[in-house]
Amino acid sequence: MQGLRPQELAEIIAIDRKKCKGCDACKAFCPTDAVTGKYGAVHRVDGERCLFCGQCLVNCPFGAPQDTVDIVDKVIARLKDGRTTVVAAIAPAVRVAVGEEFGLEPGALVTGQLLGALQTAGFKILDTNFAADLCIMEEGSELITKIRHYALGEAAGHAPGPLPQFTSCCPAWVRYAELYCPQLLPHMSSAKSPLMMAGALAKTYGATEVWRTNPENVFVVGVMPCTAKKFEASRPEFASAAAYWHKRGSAGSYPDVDVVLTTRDLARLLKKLNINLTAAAEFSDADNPLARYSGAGTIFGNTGGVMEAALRTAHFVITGQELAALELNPVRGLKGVKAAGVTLRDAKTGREITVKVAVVHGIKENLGPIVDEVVAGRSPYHFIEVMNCPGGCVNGGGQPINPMGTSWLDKYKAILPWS
Amino acid sequence: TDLVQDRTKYIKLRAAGLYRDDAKAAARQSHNNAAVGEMYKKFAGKPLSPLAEELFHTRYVDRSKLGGMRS
Repeated sequence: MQGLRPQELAEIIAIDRKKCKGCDACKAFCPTDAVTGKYGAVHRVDGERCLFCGQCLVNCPFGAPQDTVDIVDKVIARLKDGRTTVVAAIAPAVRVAVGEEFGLEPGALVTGQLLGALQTAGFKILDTNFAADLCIMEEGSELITKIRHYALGEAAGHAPGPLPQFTSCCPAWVRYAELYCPQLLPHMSSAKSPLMMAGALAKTYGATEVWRTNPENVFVVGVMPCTAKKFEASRPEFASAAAYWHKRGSAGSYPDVDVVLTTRDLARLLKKLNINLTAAAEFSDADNPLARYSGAGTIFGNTGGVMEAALRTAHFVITGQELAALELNPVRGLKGVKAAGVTLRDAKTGREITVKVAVVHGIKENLGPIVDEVVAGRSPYHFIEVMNCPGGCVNGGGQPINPMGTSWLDKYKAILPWS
Repeated sequence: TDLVQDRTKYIKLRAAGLYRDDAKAAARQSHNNAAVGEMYKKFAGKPLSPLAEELFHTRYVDRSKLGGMRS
């Protein structure tokens, strides 16, 4: 199969032939025209083109597209084997959606109960929000290096990658760029996604400093609003912890993130274990530093959130002062493409720079013109955030499906948030 | 009808939940997450250090050039 490497998952989303009515609703949401089949006939997903984003799955009025990677029982077995340190890395957007699976309102923020329920199930916690903060430190430092070099004229040891810099947190966007716009790859931030950082950290620092166990006994479970994260975890380069220990004399071979559960998978796991999220004891692991996160880390789950978090830190690093108003309203909300400029005075040189940023969500509808500008060499931006799913991870393909929450009876175009 | 709701409503409610989480956080900037600072101090050094590059950074693959490896 083209476009995939041998170790990588080749199929995550598949359409159930018995449920598909051939209504074409999925095609309106597929960012890469990966769904084939005539109107009225059973459709299928082309795995070579598919980003595994799951937008077809959460928007199908008949529930025909399925997530075929079911590892709930495998995770339960590891929880019960008594030997494994099973670490849950929970994405921001899970905490405002998993409640829906237990009868709560959409948007109910259940961090305390969610972490408590995971603890009851036997998980250790590494909040992916912590890793999102880490991601800002890495990705933000990379951006600041580029801005200092290209815009403020500061000499660098070697020329950093080109501006604009693109975010690299969204695995569907990364796969899109790799498949369809490889000329953009030098512009991608080299920072791993928060989950992949979490995996590498759990099996190094987490194992030695926090859980005090052999890294080979650590089993990292990403808990994600996303089906594409299942693909990301299977990418062969994400075995940094094993490489780290290899250099230090251990021969083990294992991925940084062992498996990924979607928000839906997690709800099924908790129900199988008879754990009711709404009745769960609040999380109590106050001395676990890997469960701590900032407000900037948590907004990663929204479109514009990575950008807002990055600018809060870039402002501090460049000017030496905290941003006075932390809410960056121009990058919030559901407009398809959002742009903003923030003027900063460099504390080192006294020079001023207006950092120009753009935020894109919904690759299918909104990405094209932004990419064309970059390829033509006339993009006005320094930093561009891209998330595949409309609205960002809160609307990811691994999130709960409320059967009333979407409809093909309505004009389905009208439920795209920017239309 | 109740059966035909707007998915955008769900997106907005979930997004608002995350903005509430941000507003009530003790620290609201990543550089003020003391646990991250502690990790750098004890382990990774500083952002973009050789160890940070090794564990927290990656490379990308031009998939348009990948042939039919599986088939």
